[in-house]
Amino acid sequence: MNITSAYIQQIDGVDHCIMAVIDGTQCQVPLTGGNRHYREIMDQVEAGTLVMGDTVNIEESN
Amino acid sequence: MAYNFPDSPSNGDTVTINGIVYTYNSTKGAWKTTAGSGGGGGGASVTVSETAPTSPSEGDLWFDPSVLKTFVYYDDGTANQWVQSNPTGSGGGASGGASVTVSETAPTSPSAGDLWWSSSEAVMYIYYTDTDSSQWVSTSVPGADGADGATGSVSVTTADTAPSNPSDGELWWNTDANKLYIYYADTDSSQWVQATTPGAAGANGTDGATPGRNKIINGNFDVWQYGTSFTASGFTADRWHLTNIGTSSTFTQQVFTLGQTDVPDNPANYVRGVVSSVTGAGNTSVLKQKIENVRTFQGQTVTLSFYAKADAVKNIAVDLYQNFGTSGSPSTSVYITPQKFALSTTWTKYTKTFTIPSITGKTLGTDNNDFLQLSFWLDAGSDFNSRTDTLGHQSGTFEFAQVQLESGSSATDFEHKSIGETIQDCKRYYIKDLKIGGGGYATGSGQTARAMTSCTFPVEMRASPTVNVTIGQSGSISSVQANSLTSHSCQFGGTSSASGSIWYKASATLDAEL
Repeated sequence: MNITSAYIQQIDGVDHCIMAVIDGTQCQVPLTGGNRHYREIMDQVEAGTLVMGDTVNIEESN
Repeated sequence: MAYNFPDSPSNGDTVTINGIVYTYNSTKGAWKTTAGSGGGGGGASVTVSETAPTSPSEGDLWFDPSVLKTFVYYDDGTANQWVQSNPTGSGGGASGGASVTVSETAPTSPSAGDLWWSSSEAVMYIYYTDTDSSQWVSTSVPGADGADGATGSVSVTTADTAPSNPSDGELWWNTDANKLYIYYADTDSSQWVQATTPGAAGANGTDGATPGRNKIINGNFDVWQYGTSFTASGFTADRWHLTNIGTSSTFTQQVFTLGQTDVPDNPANYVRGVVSSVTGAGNTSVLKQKIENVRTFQGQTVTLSFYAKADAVKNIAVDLYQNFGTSGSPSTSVYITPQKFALSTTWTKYTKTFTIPSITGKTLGTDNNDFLQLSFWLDAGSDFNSRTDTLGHQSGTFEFAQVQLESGSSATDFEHKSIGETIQDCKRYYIKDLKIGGGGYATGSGQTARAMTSCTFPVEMRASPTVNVTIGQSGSISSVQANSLTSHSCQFGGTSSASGSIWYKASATLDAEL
């Protein structure tokens, strides 16, 4: 699984999801361990093969 | 009293003697009794005993094994007595015994008292000389409907309780159990014994009829939401994951020739893997499916069955393993002894049983993602020897159809599901091209969660899915995201790129695979 450009997206300051490009496709990954993409991202981050980008916060109330 | 048969009879002529109707058969040249005629006092009895039967009826037969002679109980008009039916000559010894012939046609030049067993009719005749003629006459004496005949009858009782005072050989149909019993006397007891004992095959047949027995989803390779040709690791046919490490392989959807009978029940599709092996201890090509929930088949014997063939006689290996999930403190995976299959070059059904260990005492992770995995190893470096029974490296073409994993020690027929059912099963794990859209109003650019649309997924997915949205058409919308995402629903909303009316039409892909 090739994962690039991953970062945490927050909404109103609360972690909402991980936005990542997975095998060339922009994806929205839920923050749940039952999701295989989330686990893979966490595994790669832990292994040092993936570095998370800066968190992006979206103000939904704007 | 001597009975007199007509001289020079014609075929079909009848004569009634002592209530018994004899009909002349010109082909056989013999008088034969008519089945079912007579009636009255019942059939003649045949007794085998060293002493004469008591209270005999005329015509009864008695075979005395001590002298090897047969007697008939005969009324000559003045007295009843047992008369030897095949008297030997007065001189004894070798002379004068009546002959017994077994043939399809009547013996030529018979003597009075000769016996002929007509093998074409299974009827015994005796050559009888009366006052004016000699002829073959059937020795069988019909009984009144056979009920009281020598052959007797067997009582059959239909009831929900066993008959009282049964006789040996009596039959009882138990209406509660829908089973047939026979009353059987052995050397030291008598008892009702089930006449038809259910065998293993029958029991498995019952299991086989159980819907949902096949825990492999899309075992018929009918659903291909991901595409139809794959070379990289990832999902291929729905639920089937290809892992290529080092070795390269291409897996494609294939369509059976219409009307083929090599694989039964007219399946539409199968999968073909073309493997180009690259030597390396960690290299492999393996097709696998994760069955949700490690409780599946735990502590049971299971049977794997599938149709397969290869471009040449080649081994593949199959293994299963139990994974207890992630997060928390899950137990380590349990690998089940692999087994090899020697594929031939023609479609063949392969079957093997595996024992799935109990999970008693194991601990699940907290992510609710435990599973039982089935793997078809086509090429495997030495790192995988323990999981492949040292399969080793090989290239080739491998084809699979009708994969089934079920409880029990024998394979039932492949469980066919409709395409609709299979697609629904697959959508628990992957949904492609879910159409979404919405419209609204924004007061500026960069506003999120606009043109919101609630969406309930067509099935409850295994977990909250990864979402990919592809916008088809839009007005002042730069992107669409899922909000309030769960395993069964979400709300899609757009990010505005300008003020004013905004709208979008898009399709979403949802991935909750294991």
